Amino acid sequence: MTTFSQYRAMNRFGLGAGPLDLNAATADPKGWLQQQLEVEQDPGPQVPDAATSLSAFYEWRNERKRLMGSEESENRAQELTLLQRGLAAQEQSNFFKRFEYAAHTRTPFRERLVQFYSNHFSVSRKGKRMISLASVAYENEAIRAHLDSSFADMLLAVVSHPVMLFYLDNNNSVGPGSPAGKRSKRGLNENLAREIMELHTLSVNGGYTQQDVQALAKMITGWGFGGYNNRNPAIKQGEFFFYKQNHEPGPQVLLGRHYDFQGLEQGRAALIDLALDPSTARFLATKLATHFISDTPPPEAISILERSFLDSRGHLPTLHRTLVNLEAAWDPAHKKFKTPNEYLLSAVRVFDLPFNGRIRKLIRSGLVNLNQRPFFAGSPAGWPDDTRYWSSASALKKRIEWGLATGASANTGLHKIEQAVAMLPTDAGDLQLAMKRAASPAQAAGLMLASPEFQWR
Amino acid sequence: MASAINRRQFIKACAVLTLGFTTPISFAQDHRDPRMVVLILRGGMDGLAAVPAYGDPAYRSGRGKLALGTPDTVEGVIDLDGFFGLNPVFENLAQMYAGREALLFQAIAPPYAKRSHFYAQDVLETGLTNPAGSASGWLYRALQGLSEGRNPEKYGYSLGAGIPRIVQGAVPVGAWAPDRLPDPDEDTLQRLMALYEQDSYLGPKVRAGFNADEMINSMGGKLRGGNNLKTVAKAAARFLIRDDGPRVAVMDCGGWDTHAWQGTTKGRLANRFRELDTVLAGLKQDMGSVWDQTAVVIVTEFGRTVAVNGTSGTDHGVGGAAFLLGGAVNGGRVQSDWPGLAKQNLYEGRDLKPTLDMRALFAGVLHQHMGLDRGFIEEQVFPGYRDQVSGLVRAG
Repeated sequence: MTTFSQYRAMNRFGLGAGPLDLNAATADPKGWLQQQLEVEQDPGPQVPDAATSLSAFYEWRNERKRLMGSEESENRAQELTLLQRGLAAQEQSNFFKRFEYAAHTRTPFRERLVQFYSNHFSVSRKGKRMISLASVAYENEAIRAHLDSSFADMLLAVVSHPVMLFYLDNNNSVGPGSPAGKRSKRGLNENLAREIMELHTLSVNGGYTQQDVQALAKMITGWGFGGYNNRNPAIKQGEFFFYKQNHEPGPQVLLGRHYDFQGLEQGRAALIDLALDPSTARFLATKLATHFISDTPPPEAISILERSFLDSRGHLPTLHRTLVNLEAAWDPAHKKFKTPNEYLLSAVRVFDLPFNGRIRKLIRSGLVNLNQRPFFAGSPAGWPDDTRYWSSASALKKRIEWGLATGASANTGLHKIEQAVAMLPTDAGDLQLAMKRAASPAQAAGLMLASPEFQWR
Repeated sequence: MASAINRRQFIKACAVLTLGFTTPISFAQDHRDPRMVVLILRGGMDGLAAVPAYGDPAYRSGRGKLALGTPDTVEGVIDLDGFFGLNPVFENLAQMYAGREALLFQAIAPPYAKRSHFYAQDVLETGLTNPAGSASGWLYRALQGLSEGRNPEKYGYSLGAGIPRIVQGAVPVGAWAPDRLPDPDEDTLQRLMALYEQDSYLGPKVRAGFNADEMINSMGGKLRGGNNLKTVAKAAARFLIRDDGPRVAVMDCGGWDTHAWQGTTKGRLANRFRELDTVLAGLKQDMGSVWDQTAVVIVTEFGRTVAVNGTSGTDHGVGGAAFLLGGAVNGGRVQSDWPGLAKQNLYEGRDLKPTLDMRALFAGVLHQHMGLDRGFIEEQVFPGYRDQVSGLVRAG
C-alpha cells in the first residue's frame, strides 16, 4: 500500500500511478517531482517536424485537387478514399506516438506540464485540417522545447509557430497601411491578437480594450510562414517568415506603452511585455492552481504562485518548483476529476498495458467517445479543466463502459492486478476488496478502471 | 443508504429555492404541456449572413463581397418582409416561417459588448451581466421553478457531450450523449454500482446516466452515433415526446467562428447553415404532434462585424440574430428595432448595434410559453431584470 503523498505525487502531479513510477516515486515523492523539472533530454514523441508536416499536407491537398479535377470514375472514387485514409492514418500515427510517449514516460510530471501548456496555448484541428499533421510537432517545438525556459520564451515560440499563425488566422492578416495592404484589399485579422491577450496572457478581465487588440494585431502583421504558393527561395515552406510588406508601419500604443520599434521587433517587444504583465502572472497562477489543486483553489496558493512568477520573471522551472512545494497541492481535502485524456493515460499506466493493436483501438475509441480527441478542442480556450464539465451523467456512463471493456480485454493477468491493488492508498479499501473478490482478473481490472476512486486524481 | 439521503437533500434544496412562490407555474391547471429546447450556436454566428437586412440602404456597401443578392436574383435572399431576407440555404426554416412557426430576431445580444467568445457565452448562459463567480446558469434556475415537485434531473436534460453552463447548478440536470461503446454485463455493473453508492458526488450521476440510456433506448431502439447535432437533436425529441420525459432540453454546437473565407450561399458558413436547417426540419418531424406545444430558442453569443475583414471572413461583433421556432410560436415575422447599417449607426463604427437584450427573449419564452411566474423570473432567473418580449406564443 502506498502512502497518501506517494499516491498523490504519482496521480496528481504525474499521469497516474503505475509500475513505471513505483520505485522512483515512493522513495522521495517531492524529490522525484523536482528532478523532472530540468532534464538533459526530452525529445518528445518522434514525429516529423512542423515544416515537413505542413508540406506533406500541401502535397496531399494537391493530389486531392488533381484527382477531383480528373474525370469521374469508379477508380477515382477509390483513389480519393485511399487518399483520405492515408491522411487519417498519418494523423492517427502521430497521436498514438504522443499518447504512447506520455503513457511510457518516466518523467510524468514534466509531461503533465507539457500537456497543461499545450492546452493553455491550444490549437485545434477542428475545422482546420491543415494543421492536423503538424499539431504534435507544434507541441514539441513551441511548448516542450521551452518548458525549461521562461513563459515569455514559450509565448514567443507559440506566436511565431506556423501552426498557431494558421490556426488563429494571422498568416493572412495584412496591415492596412502596409505596402501589401495598400496594393490589395487584404486587411487586418484580429483573431490571434485578441486570443493572445484574452487566453494566453492577460485574461478577459486583464484590462485591455478593443484599441489594444487592434494595436497588437497591427504589431504582429507580417508574422506568417512559407505557404502553399510560396515562390520565394528565401522562404521555406512551413517555416516562420516575417513578411515585411504585410507589416503595418509606424509606432503603436498597447496598454499605454509606446512601441516605436520597426518590423519584427515591435511585436516581439509587445509580446514580452504581455508575458511579464501582472495580469498574466495572476492568470497563469490561477490556471496552474486550478489544474494541480482543485477547481476552486485556495486564494493563498494562487498568490504564492503569482509571486513566484513575478519574482522569477516568469521562469517556468522556478514556478513549477513552487507548485510542488505548495501545501494545498498535497492536502487530501482537495481532488481533481480526471479529464478523459488523463483517465485513459492513467488506465494504460496502472497496468502498464502493452501498446498493441487492441489497446490502440481502445485508446482511440475512448478518446472519441469520451469527447477529447487530441487537438480537437472546440475553441482556442482549449479543454475545460473542471469537474462539472467532464462528469456529466452521460460522460460517467461512457467512462464506465469504456473502463469495463478495457479491463475485460486488456488481459492483464493476476500479477498486474495484485500490483495495482497494492498501489491503491489506504482509504481505497472498498475497491481493494471488490477487486479481490472479483470473478476474474478481467473483471477486477474493469472494476478498477470503472471505479469512482479511479476517476479522481 | 447514502443515496436516499442525497435524494431527500436535493428535493429539500429545490423546495427552499421555490419558497415564497407557491405556484411558480401560472397555468399548471390547464391542458398545455409545453416543451422548450435551447440551442446555443457557439463561436458567434453571423446574423447578417443568416438574416440579411437586404433592404437597408447601407447593406450592400457595408457587407461588400459577403452581401447576398436581392430576392429576385439567382441565389438571392428569400424575402421575409420586404426588408429582411433569409439566406436561401435555409429551405426548411423558410417553410416554417411561411407556416408562421418561425419568429426571427435581429440586432439582439446578451448584455455584453466586448467581443470575447467566452465571456459573452458566460453572460448568455448565466443571464447575469457579471457572470464571474456565478455557480448556476439561468436555465438551471428556471428549472427550479418549472420542475416544481419533480427533480430538475428529470425535468431538464442536456444533450450532447459536456454540460453547458446554462444548465449547471447545485444539482446535476439529466444528461445524455451518443456513444459507440459496448454495454457492460449485469454482474460487473452491480458490483460497480455498490462502489458508486459510496461516492456522494458521482453516485447519483452514474445512476442518472444509466437511467437516461434506458429511457432513450426504449423508444425506437438503441440510438447510436457520433456526438453531432443531428444525433443529439434526435435524442432531444425522443426525450421530450415522452409523457414522463423532460420538458426542457438544451444542446449546443460550435463551428460558427468564421474569421476567414466564410462564403455566402456556398462555402463554410453555408454548410453550417444547411446542417442546422436539416436538423431543425428533423426535429420538427421527430416531435410529431408535440411540435404544437414546442418552442425552440436558437441563440449565439454575438454577431460579427458588418464589414468583411482582410481574409474574406468577419471578426467578432456585437448585435446578432436569434430564432424562435415551433408550433407554439407566434411566428412568420422578423422582430427587430432595427438600428441601421449606416456607419454612424454601428456600434463603435463596426458592429450591428444591439437593440434587444437577449434576456427579454428568454424571459418571454419562460413566462408566455412555459408558464413560469414573472416574479420568479425577475427574482430568481434574471435577478433585477424585468423586460420581456411580448406576443411570442400563439393565443389559445
